[in-house]
Amino acid sequence: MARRSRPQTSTWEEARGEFYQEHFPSSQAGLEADDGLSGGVSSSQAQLLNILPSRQLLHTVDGVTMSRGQMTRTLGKRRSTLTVRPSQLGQSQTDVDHPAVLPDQEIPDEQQIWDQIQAIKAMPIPMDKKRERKNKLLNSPTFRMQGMQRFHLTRQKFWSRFKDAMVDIFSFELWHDSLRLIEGNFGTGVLSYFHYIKKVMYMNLAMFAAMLLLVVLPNALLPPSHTEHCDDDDRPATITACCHEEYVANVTAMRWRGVAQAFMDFLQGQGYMELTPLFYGYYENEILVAPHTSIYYNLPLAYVLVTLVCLLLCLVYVVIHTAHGFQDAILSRGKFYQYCNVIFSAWDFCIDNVSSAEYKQKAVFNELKGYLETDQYEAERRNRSQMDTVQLYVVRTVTNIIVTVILIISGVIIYFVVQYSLVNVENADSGIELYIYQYLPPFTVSGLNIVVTMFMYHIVTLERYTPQVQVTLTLLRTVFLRVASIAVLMYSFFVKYKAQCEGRLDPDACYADGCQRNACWETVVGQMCWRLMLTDFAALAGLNIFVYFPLRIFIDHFPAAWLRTLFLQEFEIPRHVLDVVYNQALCWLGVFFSPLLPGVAALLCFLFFYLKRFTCIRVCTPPTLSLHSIRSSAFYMLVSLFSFFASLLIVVFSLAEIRPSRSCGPYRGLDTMWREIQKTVDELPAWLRNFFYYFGSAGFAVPLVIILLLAMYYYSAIAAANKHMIEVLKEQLVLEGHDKQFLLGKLNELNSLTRSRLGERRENVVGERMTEGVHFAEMGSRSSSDAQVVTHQGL
Amino acid sequence: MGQGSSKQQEDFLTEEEIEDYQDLTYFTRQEIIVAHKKFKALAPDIVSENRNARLEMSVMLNYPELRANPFGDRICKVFSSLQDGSCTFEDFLDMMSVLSVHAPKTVKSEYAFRIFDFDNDDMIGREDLRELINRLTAPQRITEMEMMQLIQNINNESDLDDDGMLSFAEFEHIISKCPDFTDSFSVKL
Repeated sequence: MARRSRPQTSTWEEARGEFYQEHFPSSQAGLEADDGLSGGVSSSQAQLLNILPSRQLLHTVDGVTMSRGQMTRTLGKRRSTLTVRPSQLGQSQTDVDHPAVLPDQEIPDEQQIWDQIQAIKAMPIPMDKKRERKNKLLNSPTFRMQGMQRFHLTRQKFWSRFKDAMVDIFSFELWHDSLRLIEGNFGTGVLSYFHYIKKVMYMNLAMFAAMLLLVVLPNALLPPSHTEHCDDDDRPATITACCHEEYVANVTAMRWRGVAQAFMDFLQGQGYMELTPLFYGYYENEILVAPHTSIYYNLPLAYVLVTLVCLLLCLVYVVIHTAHGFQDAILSRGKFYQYCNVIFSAWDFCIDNVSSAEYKQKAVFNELKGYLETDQYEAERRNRSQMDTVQLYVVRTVTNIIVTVILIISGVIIYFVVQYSLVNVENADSGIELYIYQYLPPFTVSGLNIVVTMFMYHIVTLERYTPQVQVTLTLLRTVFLRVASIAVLMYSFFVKYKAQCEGRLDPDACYADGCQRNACWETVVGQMCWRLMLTDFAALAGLNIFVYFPLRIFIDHFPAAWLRTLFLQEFEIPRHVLDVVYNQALCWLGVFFSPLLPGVAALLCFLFFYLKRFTCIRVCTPPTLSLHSIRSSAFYMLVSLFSFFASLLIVVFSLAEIRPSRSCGPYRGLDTMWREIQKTVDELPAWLRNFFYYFGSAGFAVPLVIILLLAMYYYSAIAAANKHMIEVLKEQLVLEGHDKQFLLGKLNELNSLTRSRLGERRENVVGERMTEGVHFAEMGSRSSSDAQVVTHQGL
Repeated sequence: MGQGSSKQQEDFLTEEEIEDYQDLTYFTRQEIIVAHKKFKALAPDIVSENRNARLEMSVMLNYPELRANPFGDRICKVFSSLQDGSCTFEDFLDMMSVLSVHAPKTVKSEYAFRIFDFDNDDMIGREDLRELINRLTAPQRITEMEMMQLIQNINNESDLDDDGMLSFAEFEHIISKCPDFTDSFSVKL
């Protein structure tokens, strides 16, 4: 209470000196206002807070409220003129149109006026005030522009109107109604999944269009420039032509064997399907020429180049989409702002029916509970005893080993099934038996995918990770499983083929003994991809329509709690993402062996959309665990990227290790497929050839790597420095906040002191003086010289 | 049919008004017309007579997205020109413009701050946060201890000057770190 007994004649300056002797935050009685600030604010405190410059920004300037952000930004830029601001705020300025335009500036020109009109949209004021402002701006005197600037402005205006008109005309969005329905019922998380399917479909369509135009159509329309014919006398020299003719004869013989067989052939990709543009075997190995002209089209070169460029463009597309959201989605998602993220952006404002809103509320509740539990768990973890930690790590190691073992076992199963089916396919006749043996590997793969995925979802709960980590880990493991199963499938085929067929090939034979079905191995690989895609889609559709949907109907009619917990599914997005990713991985894998496969993939994506829509709306309930609805499609694109590289690896491996088959395709008879590109590059002029060779040499790679490492180091150093700066500024901000509270408390105390003294003398005008006391403080915040007068008055 | 045509003029927006709205909101021509149609669907009789009629909050809350929204009444109050929840067509257009996908994050965060500031004291204090969490998770109950913990966590993450409340600057800073905000704070017409 030392302050109360201060001599009454103390001036502002002396009082100021005394202030600095206190240490903050003061524990004096006068500063119990501290709690008042964070809890309820007393009226005098509120009055004080309202006169702070940061609150003054809300006051109307010229009848118009500026957005707070705008105000600070414009004021910040003109800090030197800030001394003018506080006294002018709250008073009407007739000669200042805009705070950013100082009285001594020129009349604004048309460009500025137009910019200001465009900026009206972002102002947080009601519509009639906006209109007033716009009219004021339009009627204010403007400086007419000349020449180039005027042209720029007219162009800008025209362009913005044109853009708006275009948007109105071309406002067709595929599946608009379905997406609105899903959005209204499930929120933005599930919506982003369907947007992802749409993007993947467009990507596949683009690839399909490119392959169609550049590879399929020339081959179908233009005849080859010359065809080799089989010469029986000189067989070793014309072996490729002989083999090709034999192959074509064999396949054409099996073309039509009845309707049932035709249907099975369609499913297997054989018979009449085999020599269609769908598979590698259809394509010519000669340069095509348009008749009666001299237009040449090198088909083998086009085939490999177009495929490579398509894959490269896909990669660029996926990387761009991943990078867009990567920083936001993955880096910010850390533990730094998770609570605020949930509270402030959890609610999807687009939900339009009450029952979905209830689901969403449950979801938010679960997520908050989940976070609180995780925090508790983390706190416990720190307090965990040695024994518990050791036990947990043992459990985690064991589960990791179990998962690895299961993955290996699945791989081995697939390997043996493939070997078994390849052996039996050779010996079986056509018919049901053949069909079963050929479809055995794909069904095994699909079955294993489903079973092992379910197992992994359950086993991850044993490891007691945080929910976030659980979902990511399960996703990664399942992706790995799917990609590995395809890889093992392909690998076992290649191993068998190499051992049995390639090694024992005579120079004058088309194929080794017992390898007739693999005479054209690229087509066989294409057929395998075709079968895998069809099987996977059929399994998914069958499971959803014939198993899950009836279950759901059953549960709806018999609402027993145990049934619900056991069988009712939520629309867990990570699982459904994997289906699309798997389909896409197959497409990328097979595009080299089956040029029209992207078209098939696009069609399957189209069907996927409807299947998933059906699953989402009729079979599953909205996800109540928010981490089941990772919102950014960037994360899914990241998973796509991983599968892309896996597919690429498989294709490159097959092309590098195995010779092109002798009987079919654009590369028949050559040693490798790269030979074609090499021939073309050799024919280029010398400087261009050297240019290309330079890219493959060490003289290019080493400097590139060094530059990249230096750039990475530079950016990480900057990031570290910025981080440090952020910490420093945060601390400073906290100190400033404490200062502010302290000073406000002191001011409040000074006011009440003044008031109480005045109240002793003139009780009947206490009310007047209270407001005066506030005025004292107001004027006091402007300049200290004024306050001298004030304190003398008051005392 | 002079009577009919003059009634028609009251009903539909004039070209001038549409162009005006195009300058003042983030909408295109088509979207403004669709917005007017939806506004009219809320109370066809009243809006036919005056295309900029003022509708009570109870009528406004019949709009599907507002009805399902736990903050529906706050949204109406914030955008209402009389601050009591009743909206004219211009208020409604303003609301939809801010909630559209074209509006930038700054505008959205400004209005989100106003919506979440339940006691209108220009700060999001403890009581505001409490009300916010309760509305988000109703009818599930959060225990008092968990509520205190949640409020404490939020303040730890976002209250930079340590005064126990979120000012607009702190709120904007937090929103800039939330990647989902723009998507979730959007309504399509």
